[in-house]
Amino acid sequence: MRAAALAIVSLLSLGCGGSPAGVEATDCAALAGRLLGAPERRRLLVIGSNFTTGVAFRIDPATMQTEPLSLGVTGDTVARMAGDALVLLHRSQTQGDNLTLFDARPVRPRYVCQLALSRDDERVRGLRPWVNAHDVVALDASTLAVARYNLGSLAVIDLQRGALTRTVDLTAFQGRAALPYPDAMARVGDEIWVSLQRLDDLVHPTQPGLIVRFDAALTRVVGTLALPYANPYGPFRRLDDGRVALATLGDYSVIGDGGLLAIDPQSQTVTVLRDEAALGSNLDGFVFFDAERVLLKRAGARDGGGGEVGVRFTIEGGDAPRELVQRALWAPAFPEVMGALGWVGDPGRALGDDAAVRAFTRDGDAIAAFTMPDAMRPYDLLPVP
Amino acid sequence: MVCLGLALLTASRARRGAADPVEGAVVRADPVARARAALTRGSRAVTVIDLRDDARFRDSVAQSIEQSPGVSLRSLGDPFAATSVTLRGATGAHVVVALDGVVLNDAASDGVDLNLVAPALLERATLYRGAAPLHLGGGSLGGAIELHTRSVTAPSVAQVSLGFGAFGTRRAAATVAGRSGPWRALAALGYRHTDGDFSFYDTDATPDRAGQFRPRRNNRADAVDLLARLCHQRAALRPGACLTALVSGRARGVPGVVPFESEGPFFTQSRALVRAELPLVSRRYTVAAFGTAMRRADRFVNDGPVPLGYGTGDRSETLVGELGLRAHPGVEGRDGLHAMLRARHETFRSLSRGGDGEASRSALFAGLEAHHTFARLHLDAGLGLDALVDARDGLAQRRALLSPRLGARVVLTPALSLRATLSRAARAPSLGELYGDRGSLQGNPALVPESAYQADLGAVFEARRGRSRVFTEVALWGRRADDLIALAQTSRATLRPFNTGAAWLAGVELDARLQILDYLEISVSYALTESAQIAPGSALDGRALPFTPRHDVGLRASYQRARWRAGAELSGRSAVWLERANVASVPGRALVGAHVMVALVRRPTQRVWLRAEVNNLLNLRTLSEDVTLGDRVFTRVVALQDSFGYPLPGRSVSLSLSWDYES
Repeated sequence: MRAAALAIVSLLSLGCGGSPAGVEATDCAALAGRLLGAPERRRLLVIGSNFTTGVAFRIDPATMQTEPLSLGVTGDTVARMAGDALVLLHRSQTQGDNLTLFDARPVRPRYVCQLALSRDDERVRGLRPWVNAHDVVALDASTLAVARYNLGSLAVIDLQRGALTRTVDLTAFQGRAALPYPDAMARVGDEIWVSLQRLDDLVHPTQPGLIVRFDAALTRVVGTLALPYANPYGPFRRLDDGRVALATLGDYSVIGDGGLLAIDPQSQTVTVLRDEAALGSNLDGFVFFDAERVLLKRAGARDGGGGEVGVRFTIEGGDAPRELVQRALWAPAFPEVMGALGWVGDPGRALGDDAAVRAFTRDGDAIAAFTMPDAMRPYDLLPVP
Repeated sequence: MVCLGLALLTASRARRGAADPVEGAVVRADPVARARAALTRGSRAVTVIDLRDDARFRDSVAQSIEQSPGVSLRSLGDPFAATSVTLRGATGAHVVVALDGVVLNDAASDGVDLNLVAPALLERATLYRGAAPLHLGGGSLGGAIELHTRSVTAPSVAQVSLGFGAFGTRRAAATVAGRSGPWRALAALGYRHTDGDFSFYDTDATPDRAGQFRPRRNNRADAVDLLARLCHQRAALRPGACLTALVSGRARGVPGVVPFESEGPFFTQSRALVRAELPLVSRRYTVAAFGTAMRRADRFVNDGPVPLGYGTGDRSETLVGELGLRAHPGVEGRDGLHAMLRARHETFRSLSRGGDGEASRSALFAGLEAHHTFARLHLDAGLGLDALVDARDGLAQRRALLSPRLGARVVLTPALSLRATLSRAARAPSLGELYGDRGSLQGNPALVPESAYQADLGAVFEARRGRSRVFTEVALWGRRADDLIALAQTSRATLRPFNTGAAWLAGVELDARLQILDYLEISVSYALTESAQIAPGSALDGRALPFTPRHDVGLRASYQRARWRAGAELSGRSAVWLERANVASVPGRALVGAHVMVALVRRPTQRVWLRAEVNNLLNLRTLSEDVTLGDRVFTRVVALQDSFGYPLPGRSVSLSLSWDYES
């Protein structure tokens, strides 16, 4: 009787169910010293999302074969490469808000480690903030910098120590905005550039966008660059002539307040390559085939009253513009160019019907379509080894 | 269970075939027994749950209905948190919830939070799995839950209960009722509070790493509910003229999902409902006129750090007015023609930083249902017609929804009967789905109503020997739902609803109850539910619907002897998918609860009860699942939960004291 009572008491006090453990954490240092290489990128990583959860797979353009990957992606995950590291930025409120590293060298990416992107002392009244990382760049062979969109700051991650070592506050540059909202990062020569969207708390821009230029170690601000339009959106891209291109979206509910910009790193002059007024749509993604042709992702205006909002992918330049895809839904994935082909994330119809990654030539001819698994919509595209 | 019951019944000392001499009297006097007897004579799959004894000791009515077959709950936290019910695989918007005949589902929302009604005010809950009765309208694609507030049967009744428990939980309820001549009055007041600071397993936004237990924040909640009723009735269970008022207020923190709990967001809800019924009783028919006015006001305040896209002071208000006539032969449940005519007007106003909006729905529902019994065969057939006019900004849309139903019950032996129903139900898109909220939800005026055909076949075995009784029901059911509505992203910050396809669902349910003499009752419920989306050409084709566990089991045992009562229950279910692609899921789990009560005072007119209750007795706080990352398989540990990111509490103990007086 006493034994039975003791057993019951033990059961009650110990609890039941899985013991609090986690996935075995491998040492982040396995990727230390390997962040600056440039392994040849021969395949396209596709992240799919239904906004609740996500999937990943790879396309090999040489064979036009696909291969599913188990990367643990969430409903809001984007991927970046840094040397040998495949960096996943998870931004899901429910499934993880962190940086997860895989070694991209093996045939199948190898899980390395997962790190939180906020410090304990950044907890607001004991609560962890939602970081919502938007981009990452390697500062050196063992150090990463992450744009913390919701915190208005950058985080510096030391892989040797497997920890966030310091943060860089950007609120001095937010102006009238609720936060600076750092979006994209890029290494430009000896500098690290960070684009700031400077939005209010209802996602409307408050003033023109800004690029903050840091030294390569992210220890001091070298300068800033005011943009002619508001709300820089999406990645920096390098043009063949050395200029850096960037899309500015302006206000999502206004057409004509944004455009595609090219910035000369030397002179800091900004040239408007395309403007929304001429395009007749918002511009929220682009990639250049070459100096002449650009693949644009164009979104309709949000009218707030139930009007149609959609996406168009077009190739501009050269001959008459070619329309590649037009849908009533929005497409999150930025287009990519790899293997002389333009890659487009087609959102399909409602809830992922017909959603596919489609490949086009620079002339706009359709080459291949890869149906998205699990009726997910393409969320991010990234050339990988 | 059936075999065990039969064996025990055979061994019973009661005389074979002898009917309980007081059964008829008990049924006449007891509103719950009477409702149960009336409803189980029909063709529907129905469960009547007596809430009088247990509900006042609980924080939520959801806890009392969870054990029923086919019912699966989705809670966003502790028993005070928003809880929606899945009934036969149909989620919130497809389950009609009514209170004393007033449908609480309004045109502005997509389901009813079961925890908005204080359990202490309730007498019974009636669960209709599949076809619902005429007076609940035609919108119940999966079924309906009707809650009934307390009725007055004794000359004078008083009840006071107090309770407190883990996580700062406090409950108080008081009811007084009495009658004088034909007048019957009841007033009830309920108060509930929780600090909600239960600890949960938190991986700090890094789910692939080990986590730690920490307390939930900003999860405090307070609720006050007041019920008043005045009736002019010649007998307790005869129709009478009644005026009922229910006022509820609730305020609670909105912690959000973990690990991104927020300190600032706060939500207040108030609901006021007034209903008047005036029956005109003739010899053969009861015709009742009724009118209802209801107001629901919600306010969301965020005085903490404001996350991107969050409003800081959004308000909404829903006003509902309805008038109707209801006719049925004699008392409810009798054979004959049942008719219903109801006009209802709803206005929804929202005030947010995204802009103000107002939309309305006017609806006229007319229904006719015929019940007839030919010897051992009972047949019923009905037809409901909903005519709706939705309006916003001067634009109006009209639509008509038909909800036919057929049912039959055959009594094979006094103990065994078969029943079957065939029905169709349709739900019009909500005003938000049609017109948007001027925020992140865009409207889609082109939406068509969701609809479902459902069939149900059941066998009921019920036998009584003396004071022992066995009841077993096995049901097979199937449903085809069409034009289901789901949200898809249409811009960086907006979602829009679309009619996205169809689904098949089918299931088996078992409901078995064994009562041995007066002191032991054992019940088992089990539901097997299969579902498949119909989306030809899409990867979703054939995949299961989310939030529908394949296996759902409930076990309950209760014992009462002299001044003691005790009970234990187990509620278990298999994993549920969280989205339509069947990629993300919440692992299955089983929760155990137990309670013990003792009558400290046991007099003919008075009882004082002391009750101790333990929920989640085994303190299950984590669930495990295997995940593949790269080239390796890991075991991931997540917090106990029903849905993404909303942890459920571990073991909680509560203590209650109740004084009952009845003359």
